[in-house]
Amino acid sequence: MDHNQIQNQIPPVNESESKGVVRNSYERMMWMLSGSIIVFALIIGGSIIFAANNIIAPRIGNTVASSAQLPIVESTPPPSGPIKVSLDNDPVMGNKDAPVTIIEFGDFECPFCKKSFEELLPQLKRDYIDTGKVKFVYRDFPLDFHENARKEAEAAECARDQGGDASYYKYHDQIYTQTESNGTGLVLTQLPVIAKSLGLNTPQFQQCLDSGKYADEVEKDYQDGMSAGITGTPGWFIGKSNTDNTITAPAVEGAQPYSVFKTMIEEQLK
Amino acid sequence: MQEILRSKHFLIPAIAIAVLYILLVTYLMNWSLFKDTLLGAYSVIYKWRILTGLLQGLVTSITPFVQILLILTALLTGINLTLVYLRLKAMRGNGKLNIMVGGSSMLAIVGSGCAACGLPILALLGLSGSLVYLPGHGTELSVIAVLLLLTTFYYMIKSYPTEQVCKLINKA
Repeated sequence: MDHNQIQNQIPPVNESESKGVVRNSYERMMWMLSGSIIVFALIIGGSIIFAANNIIAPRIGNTVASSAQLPIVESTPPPSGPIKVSLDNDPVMGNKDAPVTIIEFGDFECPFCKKSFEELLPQLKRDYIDTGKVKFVYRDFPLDFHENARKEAEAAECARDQGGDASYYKYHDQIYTQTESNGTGLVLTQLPVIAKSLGLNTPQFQQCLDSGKYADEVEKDYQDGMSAGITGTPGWFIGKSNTDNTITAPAVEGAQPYSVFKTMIEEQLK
Repeated sequence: MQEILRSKHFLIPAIAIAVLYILLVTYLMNWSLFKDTLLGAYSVIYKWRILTGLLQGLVTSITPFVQILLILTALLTGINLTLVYLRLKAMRGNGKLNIMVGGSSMLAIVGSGCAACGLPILALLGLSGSLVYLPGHGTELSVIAVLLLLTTFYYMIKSYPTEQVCKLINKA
């Protein structure tokens, strides 16, 4: 087959056809590019709208205030690096004069908080809390989409009302042990049953719970967590105990392994 | 095409980008601690232990489904960006084709760099909390990112210049 025969087998391609192929490919790419940008814009835009309407408006009591009435608090990035966090008047586990403090911002219906309770806390207790080196402070950070978390947090405070910090942590342990941690993992009717099993005065406990006596306390913890840059649970701060009831530490987010805690605690104990 | 996907010029950068992507996501999720660890006056051993500990935290602090999504996204990001780079390198100076390559590059970057990193980017913007109001609490972003990356991968593979010859079309 000579060169001319090969040439004859090649179908003629006119200029408009070749331009059309390039144009179609180009248009397809541009269409995909536009689509991606639109999807991305919707995600970011949607997040901003949700944030403006639901998260960043500071709450008063149990109600969400209009973002138009109050200043936006989460429109700026969360603080990075060490931050001063108060222990407030929240329950302490362990030696109150321990040189190192761990603050957990937790949600009783958060599965990763439950995981930390089951796997991390026993190790921390054994190695540091029970040995007097570390005190543990649990502060509430009930996420809004965990329906029962806020009431469970109030219930633990009501238990503390009767029996102090020891009673609080017994109740805390029972909630984490019994809940399935899915938002409504513990039916609210179970709360007085737990109180009764721990030997608390049930009518007094129920009255405390029904009155919402500790709703503001739980809310204060939540707001403090937000101010400290907590964006999810569990959120931790590990630092040297200060005399002014605070610690200065960077936020540790999530159910991190024991090795991270051990390393940070040992560094603070030096 | 298979030769390209098996070559070290493709595999090494693709895997390197995937690893970098996972590191980036891990440390963005704990930006405060990461920054303090790196910049603080700590020993090298401390820094090493915290940084490796946070990597272990990927196993303990996210669900298996999200772990799979993260690995998929990382691999697809590595593959896409490497393909974009190789394609740009092969077609540099090819007139109108540059526009097409530029388009798919942009698509890959939008797909990988933005949607895939949705959570950390939003977290840095202070908006990560808003994700809790999405039905999947933000997992949607990862799923969308994987779909976008698969789409760009498919189109890039489909239109990749596999042979440097013009084929005859037998109309007989």
